[in-house]
Parts: sequence; C-alpha cells; structure tokens
Amino acid sequence: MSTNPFDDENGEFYVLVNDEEQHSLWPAFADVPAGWTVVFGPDERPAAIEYVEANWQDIRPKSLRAALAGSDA
Amino acid sequence: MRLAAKTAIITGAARGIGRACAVAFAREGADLVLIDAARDLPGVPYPLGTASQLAHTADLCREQGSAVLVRHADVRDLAGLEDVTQEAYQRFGRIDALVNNAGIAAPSGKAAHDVTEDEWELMIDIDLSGTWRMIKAVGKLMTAQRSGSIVNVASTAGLVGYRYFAGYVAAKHGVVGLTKAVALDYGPSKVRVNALCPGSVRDDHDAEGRMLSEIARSLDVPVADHEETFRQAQPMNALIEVDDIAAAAVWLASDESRQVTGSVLTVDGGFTAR
Amino acid sequence: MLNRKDHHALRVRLPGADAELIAKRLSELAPHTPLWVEPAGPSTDPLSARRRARETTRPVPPAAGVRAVLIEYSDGPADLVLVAHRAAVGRSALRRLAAALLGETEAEPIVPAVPSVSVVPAADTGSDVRLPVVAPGWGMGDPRAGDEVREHRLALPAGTAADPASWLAAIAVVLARYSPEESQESVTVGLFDAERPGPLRAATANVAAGTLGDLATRIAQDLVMAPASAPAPSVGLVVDVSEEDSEDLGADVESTPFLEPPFPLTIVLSRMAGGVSLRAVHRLADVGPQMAAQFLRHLAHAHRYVAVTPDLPAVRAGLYDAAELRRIRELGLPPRALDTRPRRIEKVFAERAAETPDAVALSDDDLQVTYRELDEWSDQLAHGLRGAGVRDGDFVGVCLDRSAELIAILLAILKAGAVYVPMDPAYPVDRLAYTTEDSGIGVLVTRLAEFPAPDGVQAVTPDRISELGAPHERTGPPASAARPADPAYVIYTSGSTGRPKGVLVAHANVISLLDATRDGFGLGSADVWTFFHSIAFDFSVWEVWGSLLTGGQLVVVPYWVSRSPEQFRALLRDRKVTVLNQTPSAFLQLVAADRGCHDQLAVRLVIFGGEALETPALLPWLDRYPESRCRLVNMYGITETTVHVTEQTLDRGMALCGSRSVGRPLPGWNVYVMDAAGRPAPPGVIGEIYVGGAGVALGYLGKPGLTAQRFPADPVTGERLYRSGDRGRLRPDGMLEHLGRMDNQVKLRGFRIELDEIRLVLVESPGVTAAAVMLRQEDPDDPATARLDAYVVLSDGASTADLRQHLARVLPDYMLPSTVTALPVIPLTANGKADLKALPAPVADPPTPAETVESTGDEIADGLLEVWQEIFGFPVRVTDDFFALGGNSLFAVRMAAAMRERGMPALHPRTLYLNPTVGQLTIALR
Repeated sequence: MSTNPFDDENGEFYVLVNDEEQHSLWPAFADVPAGWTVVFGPDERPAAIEYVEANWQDIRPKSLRAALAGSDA
Repeated sequence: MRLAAKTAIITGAARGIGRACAVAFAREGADLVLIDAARDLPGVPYPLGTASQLAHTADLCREQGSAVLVRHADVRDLAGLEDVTQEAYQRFGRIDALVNNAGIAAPSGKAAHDVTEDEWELMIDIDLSGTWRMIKAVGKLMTAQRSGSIVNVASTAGLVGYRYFAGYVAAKHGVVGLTKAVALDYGPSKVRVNALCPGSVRDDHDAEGRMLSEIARSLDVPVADHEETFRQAQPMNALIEVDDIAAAAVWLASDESRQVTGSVLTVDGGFTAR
Repeated sequence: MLNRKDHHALRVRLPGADAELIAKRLSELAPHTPLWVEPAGPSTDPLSARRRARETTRPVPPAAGVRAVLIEYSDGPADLVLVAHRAAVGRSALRRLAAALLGETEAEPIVPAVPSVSVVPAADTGSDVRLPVVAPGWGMGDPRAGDEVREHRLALPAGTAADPASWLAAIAVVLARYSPEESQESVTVGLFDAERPGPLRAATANVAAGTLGDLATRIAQDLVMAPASAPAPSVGLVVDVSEEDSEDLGADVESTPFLEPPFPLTIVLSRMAGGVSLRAVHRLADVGPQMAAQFLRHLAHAHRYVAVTPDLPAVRAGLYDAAELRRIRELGLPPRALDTRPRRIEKVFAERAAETPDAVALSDDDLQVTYRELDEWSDQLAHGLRGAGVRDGDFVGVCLDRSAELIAILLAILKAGAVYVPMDPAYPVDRLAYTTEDSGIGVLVTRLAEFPAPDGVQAVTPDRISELGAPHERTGPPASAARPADPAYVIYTSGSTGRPKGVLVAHANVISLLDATRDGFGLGSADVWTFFHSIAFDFSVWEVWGSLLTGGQLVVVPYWVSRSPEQFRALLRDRKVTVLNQTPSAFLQLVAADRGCHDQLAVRLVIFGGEALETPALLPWLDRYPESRCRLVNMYGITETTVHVTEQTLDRGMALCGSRSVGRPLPGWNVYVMDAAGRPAPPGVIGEIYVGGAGVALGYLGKPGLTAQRFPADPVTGERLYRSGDRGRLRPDGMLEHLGRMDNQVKLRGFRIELDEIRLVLVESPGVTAAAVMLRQEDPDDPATARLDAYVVLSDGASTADLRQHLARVLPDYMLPSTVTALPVIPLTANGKADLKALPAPVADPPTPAETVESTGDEIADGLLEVWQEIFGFPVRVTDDFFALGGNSLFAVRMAAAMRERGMPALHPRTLYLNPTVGQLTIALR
C-alpha cells in the first residue's frame, strides 16, 4: 500500500496547470482546485509524468520568463 | 479537596477536637461516620458529649456536602463498634480513615497511690483499650483494602509526665506505643498508623470543648483564669486551637502523608521541646 | 480492590418521596438491604450535585448486592440512587427494582437476599488483578492524571438507531483513521455488556474490505471473548439502552453502567430525555479530553453513513462535516497573518546599507567590512560579473570557502539579476562536476584551481571579477530588470534517485521569511550573527540574509574553528555573538565546551534547525543561561519551503517533559497533515506533513516531472503545496510534532541524506554487484553514535578498501558510510526488498595478523592506538586512515578529549585532517 495518493503506481492521474504554467500531478478521484486547469489525463502515472517532462521545460514562472525574454534586447 | 471520595470514622465526634476534625474532614470532601457515647458515664466526673451535640456535628458536616452516618457507641463495647463498622462498610463500601479521638481526662488530679482501682481501669479502658478496640474493628477491612490511615489522638501526656495524672499519662503513653506496634503490623498492607499529640488545647466555643477546663479543675487551677495560667507556661505564649489539631489530622489522613507511619506528630507550641 | 467495572448505578428523580413507603417496599424486595435516607440542601446546589455524583459512584461490597440511598433535597424533590454489583443485580433487574420501589410495578424479590455480610468478603482480598490497559497511541493522554475520569456528551437526532452492530462498525471506521499505521486489517473494537457481568468481548475487523453494512454484519458475527491476559481494545461500546426498557421511571433518570470505564475510551449509548445520546468516558491518563470529544464528533458523523448508506465502501465513510473540515484546516494556519511585500534581497540590503552605512556588516579573521563598504564592493563585483557575461536570469556557480569575499560575491550575483548556485569547496570533484552540469551555470566563481569545469563553463576567481568591475567603482549597481518573483538561489539536496536535485527558491520567499521572523525574534542592528554552515546548505541562507537584511553583523566562522567546539566557543565570546544558529548535534558539543567556562556568552537567541531536537539535552545550557536571558527556538524546516516552516520557543518545562512540539507555522506558512489517501488526518493522528504558503519553492531545477509530483496544487487555496515526506501530527492545540520520515531519508548530524542515494552510488561503484545502507544508532540516547553502515556484495578481486577510496572521491564526507561490510548476498524480505533487520553487525576490515601490533614501543603511538580502539570499538593498525575507518568530526572531538584525559599532547583537528593515520599523527605530535 502506498503511503501517498501521488505516489500510487496503480492510480489514475491528471496533469494540471495554473496561470504561471506550473504543472501539478493530480489524482483523478480528487476535485480540481480553483485556479488550475486539466491539460492531460486521466491516464496512468508514468504517462502523466512523461507529459510533464515533455511539456514543462522551464520551472520558472511564465511571467518571469516573459519579462526576461522582453528584456533580452 | 484533600480527602475527596474518602470515608472517615471519628470517635468522640460530639464536640471538641472530634467535632473540629469532623468538620475539617467534611470540608476536604470526606464522608463521615460519627461515633460518640453521647451520654454521661458513671465514674467520669464531668459532663461528656451529648446526642444533641453529636447531631449538630453531623449537621455541620452535611452543610459541607458530606454524607454522614451517626451512631451512638461506647469504645468499651467491642461488639457495638464492630456493628457500626459493618454498617459503615455497607453504607460507604470502604473505610479510608479512622480518628481515634474518644477519651476522658478525668478522674485525675491524685497521687498515683490515691487512684482507686476503678478509676485506673476506667481511664485505661477508655483512653487506651478503646483505641485498640476501634483498631480491631476496622483493621481487617483496612488491611484487605490495602489502604487506610489510622490517627490516634494521644497527648503530650503520651510523651512526658504530668504530676497527679498517672492514669492519663500511662494510658496516653500506651497509645503512642500501640501506634508504633500496629504501624509495624499494618505496614505490609499499606495501612498507616500515626499518633497525634496535642498540647494544651483551648476549649473552643463553637466546638464546645471542655477538656482543658476539666484538666484545670483536676489540678486545682482556678477555672476562671485557667487559660491565662496555661498560656504562660507555653513557649509560644499561646494555647493550641482545635483547628490546629484538625489540620494535622487531615494531613495524616490524606495521601499527602502516605509515607508517614509509626510516627508521632506533636502539636504543642514547643512544650515538649524544653 | 473491588472491580469497579462490575458495578452499575441508577438514579431516578422523584418530585417528592415517601421515605417510609419506599423503605417498606425495599424491605420486602431485598431484606437486609436498608434504605439510607440522606438530607441535603437544595437540589440545584453544587453541593447537591456532588452528593449525587458521589452516591452514584460509590461501590457496593459484592456480597451486599445492592445499596439504596434516598437523597431528600430541601426544596422538595428527592433522588433514589441504586448501586449494585452486576453479578447480584443486572441492568434490567435494577430498573425493575427501581420501578417497584416507586410503586410503578410489582416486582419479584431480588436475589441475593443476603444476611448481614462479614466485613471482608473473600473476593476482596488480594484481588489486585487488573487487566492491563494500554493507552492508544493517538490518545494524547496525560500519565500524571492518575485515575481521573472525564466524560463528554453528544445528543443524537431523534430516531437514531441504538443497535450495537452499527455503532461498532462506525467505531471501526473511525479507529482505522485514528491508527493508520496499524494495518487496516486489524482494527479491534470492544463491547462491554451492560446487562450482566462477564468478560469483555472484542472483534477484529478489516475496514478496507467491503461495505459499511458488511462491516457491521461481520463485526456482530465475530465478537468473541477478549483474552483475559491481553490489553483491552482501545475503544469499546457499552449499550445502555434497550427496546425492552418498558419501565416508566420518569423524565430524569441517569444510568451509570460502570463505575470505572472498561476501555481507555468507552463509548456509551444511553437514553436521555427521550432521545439517544452518546457519551465518551475516558481516563485522562489514557486519552486527552480534546481527543475524546473529537472522536465522539467523528463517530457520530461516521455513524450517519452506516445508518443511511450501508452500501458505501467502508473506507469512504467520512468523519467530518463542513464545519469540522474547516476547523481542521484552520488548525494548521499560523497564529497571525504575514505582513510583507515582494522585494529582491539586494534591494532590502541596500535599504539597510542606507540606514547604517558605517555599521559593521561582516567580519572575518582578517577584516571588518561596513555596510557601505560591502555595498560598494558588491556593486563593483556585480559590474565585474556583467563583464564576464552574466545577464539577468543567468545561473552563476559559487565555490568558495566561507569569507567576507564570498558574501560580497553572493550579493554581486543578485545585483547582476542572476541566481547563485552555491557549492562547497570540500566536496569531492565528482559532485562539483555534477552540480555544475545539472544547474546549467555559465560562469563559476572559485579559487579552487582544480575545479572540474566542463567546456562552456567559465571559471573565474573573485580577483578577476574585481578587475572586470574596477572601471565601475562607485557607480552603483548595474542595470537590471530582475524582479522579486525571480529565483535567488539553487540549493542541492540529496536525491533518492541516486543524484542530488536542485531546489530553486525565489527572492520573495526569503523576504517573506525575514518579515515573518524579524519582529518576533527582535532581529536588528544590535545583533551579531555567526556564519557557521556551508553555503551549500540552506541554513546558511538564513544566517547570511537574516543578518544582512536586518542590519546585523555577520561573523564568518573559519572552517577549523567550526570543527573545534572550544575554539568556536571562544569566538562566540570574543565577538560577542548574540544570534546563534546551530544543529542540535553541534550545539551539544558547544554546551559541553561552555560548561567549564567561568565567563558567560552574550548569546540571546539560539535557533535550532536541520535535525530533530531532543529537548532534555538543553537542561545543562538552561542551567547556565536561563530562558529570560537566552531564548531557545526550535524550528522545523525544509529546503523546499525556504529554510524554516514552524517555530517553537522552548523552556525548562518542555525540556523536562521531552516535548516534541515544533510549534506553529510562521506567519505566511501553513501546514496540513494528510493521511495515506490524501485526506486531512484527524488532529492528533500521525500522517504526512504538507507545507503551503510563502515559502514554497519554484521546484526542482531541470526536473519538471519530479516537481509536478512533489509540489501539487493546494486543494483549499489553489496555490501550491510541498509534500514533505515527513511524518508528523497536528495536535488539537495547533502545535505540530515532527516524528521522522515516511521513507528512507535520514538526518545525520543535521545533514539530509537519502539512503537510496548512497545505495545507488554503491551499486554503481566498480566491483559492487548489490548493496544496502542503513542508519544505526548504538546508544539510543546519544545521537552522536549514529552512523551509516554499508553492506555490499563484491565481485571477485574487489575489496572494501578500494571501495572506500572510490566513495571518498564521490560522496561528501557526511555521506561516507562509517563501515563497509562485504556479504555473500544481501538478505531480502518476502517483497524482494533488502531485509535491513537481517543485516549482521558491521565488521571493520579484519586486520591481517602480521600487521596488527599491540605495542609499537612508542608511547604516543601506543596511546593513539588505545584511544582509537576505544572510540571505534575495534582494533586498528598504525596505517589505518581515520576517515576510512568511519571517523568523523564528532569522533575527532572524542579523540581529542580522550587524549587530554590521558595527558597526551593537545590535538588540533587540523593536525588530524592532515595526518590521518596513527603513524603520521605520532610524528606530527612530537
């Protein structure tokens, strides 16, 4: 028995994102919190993690990255 | 509430030290069994506690919220004491403390060879054997309970001598010795036995005490100024109050003194320290 | 002692009573049982309430059967109190007796009709047999409370079922949530029969299987006599209500089914004022009042599920209504709100510099630097960094010893809008290389000539940076568009996948931390701090910025001084340090060094972090420095939530009782404790600590998948949480207790270590085919005896000595195993995992007989051999390397002490580090 729903190898998961494009793994049975949207799933855990690895390149907040890109003149 | 949920038997509870102890115990949360002969006894030259006084002691205790069982019994009558103990056990389910307070101070005031045989036997029978009988009545129960505290009210006369008081002194010395012996008997059963030795206790008005004036009378000390006379002989220049004795009895009866047994607690203003 | 569980009582209120009539009826029904009539004051008087309580709890001598007391109140009413021994008069019989005495019914004479009893019934003597009572782990009882019992009541809605089965099922459901670390397959509930005396019954149920209805049925079927020798189940039910209760005893009837609760927590169902009510009766020594009242609320709520939705899977039954859920969540909130605004670290530093420009900001061995000087110095270095190509948002590595220069560089990096990646120069090359590559730094500031900088990474010395910045002297910092939400630093922590991971933390988090603590701790320009910890550890973040952002003075502690408690103590005294941050292990050494001193330190605040604090160890310090003079604060913290999470000021009382509280969250931080299913654990119950709020880091650099797993969304606020993996509980009073880990991470002398990381490094080492690592502590009371033991299966030709050499190249010294034992095979459990319990005691490399000497003939060498033998516990050779044998700084301190005791020459730790064998040391000491 896993000690945590996030670590449950047999569970079903979503991937959520917020405004800053930060990603969160999320157990499919739980309600999605306000401020977050589902972008993937429900699917098996390895697939969900793979999605995150592929789509979330930079863990710095989106607003920061935008500002840096703008100031790189 | 240092005696919460405890049940105590007090002999000689009609007045004086007995009443003071009863009320103090009630205030600390105990339920009471109050015993007194409640009548005058032939051979004792002064009025003893009455049924009305005993009933008043009971009322004072009930006012504190205690349940009270009142019984008339003579400490010279073992069967009577055993009956009361039985009833007390039925009523309360346990006996946690016994204060052996019943005692007489007179007939006294004579040289040893002038004391009659009846006078000698009366003094020993009530003041020493009475204490033993009450111990006999409760001892088996207390030891089976593996808890209990017995307080024997002796006197400074149990530690030192007084002129013309041979019988009283002998009886009170006996009580002190009895205390130590029984303490050793009961130690393994966790029942404690201690002696409480009051000095000169003032006859308190509310407690309706009388002993000190009777002692004065026996010594031919004028009763009108007996308090002043006795007071001057005290190192602290004051007489003992009944509440002082009651406070000591509460401590000995409570779990606060749980390692105290076979001891003598002297409340005498320093009289025997000289 | 009379077994008070077998007594029960009934009190019936009468508007007025005819005592004689009742006595007469009693004499017919129970001869030899008198009616005791007691006058009392008004029925509403508190003294009367006490009388009632006393009479209903007064045991009856067994042979007497029953006692009847009539309390007559002065204002008219009366209470008839019947107390009986269950063997003599059962529950129903007692009710019938009461009814008969009141003239309600005819009743049969009760048994026994005993003659007057002998004073001491045999049953009383020596029956000191009491079933062992074991307080439940979640009980939070107070062992000092003795036999005191308390009670809580909850009225239930009309029509609530009162059958044992449904309530036992509800108890099982709640108990499974309260004791999660026991398997859900073995929740045991008890049942006590109010009707007749008998042994307790118990049933063990599997809450995880089946529906609520199934659970109720199974429990009812499985009830068996509880074994007499085993402890009573922690929670049990007493049903004191029955449909057969037909007697009309009036509206005010109180039934006391036992005079002493049979279980640590006894749940009583009884009838009150026309409805069914729930009572929790508990000994305060076993279960605390808040836990009992809470259990009752949760039980009532769970029972509704059993009653209304019996087809629901039992694990899904809820314990909390909306109000309770809110209450639980709020328990983990800080005591006050955080007053902060997002700013960058170097901007706040600039404010302090403007306020007190001439105050000393930094001092180390050689120099003192004022705020103005540090400001100008770091400006110049920042320009220098620009000159080296550093732009806003870049990652810059720093690998320097602790010094004033290091601080100036850190500030400069921030002023250049960049992120600093601190590395400890003492780290093995392999690790430095890994960190460099993983963090993607372009520029690295270091004095380490042999730094393993890969292509594309520019290693520069601080001197070079200074040169590059020289033209910009006194022109202020370089232009930068960096903002408070930007990362400030990356700190690497041990990774369970075998490689460390970098935690990325924003400026605003650090400012929040300062705003959360500054006023509470009274931090300000009068304070002197020590910079003691490696910059690679986030405790140093607190030391450095805590001091510089509050106008304090930061004293750099040189490496050798930090390794010698005596020298460190002298530094504290000489520099008049007021704020001291320490791991508990280091602090204990300091306490020992301080004890012999006549003078006193000026320390006014000690903050503990990094590992669990055993509070009793603080007593000697408190003896010298009372709480009024020096404040001790224990802080629970995690790198991923910006150093600190909670704070607990300690006092002597807490040290004496060994308190494990880490206090309440800092303003701006909050905690939840969740169970294995992600639900909030009931307060007082152990679960996993989750942290939310202003300290949550951006995540793990370059590891988005791991970040998404460990930093989930907060279901309540929509912000982000960090799942700590720490085991703990939130007490009903709001204090958090940190109780270790859920997994294989350990803390060793304040260092966070994933045992799996070490194991993976071992497995990847040449010559190793399998490995296991465990943490052992020889003396449970002495954390200094904790050590890492490694076990390996070696291929032919490989040796543990070679392996040790390899490890020293790869792992930092605090992660080096003290012992490496070769085994033919690593024992496995049934699940295929390493069976740590089956691992044998470690052995040092057995000395080859030819080389072991008992006496060298040299006094110093012999003395050293003896001392080493003593501290290590096994024989050593003159050529054995101290560190290869498992020695560490703590062992070094012990060694020095043992040598002092033997009158041997004084040993400076540096001497040992440069001469790590007995042979070399002997020469050096001469």
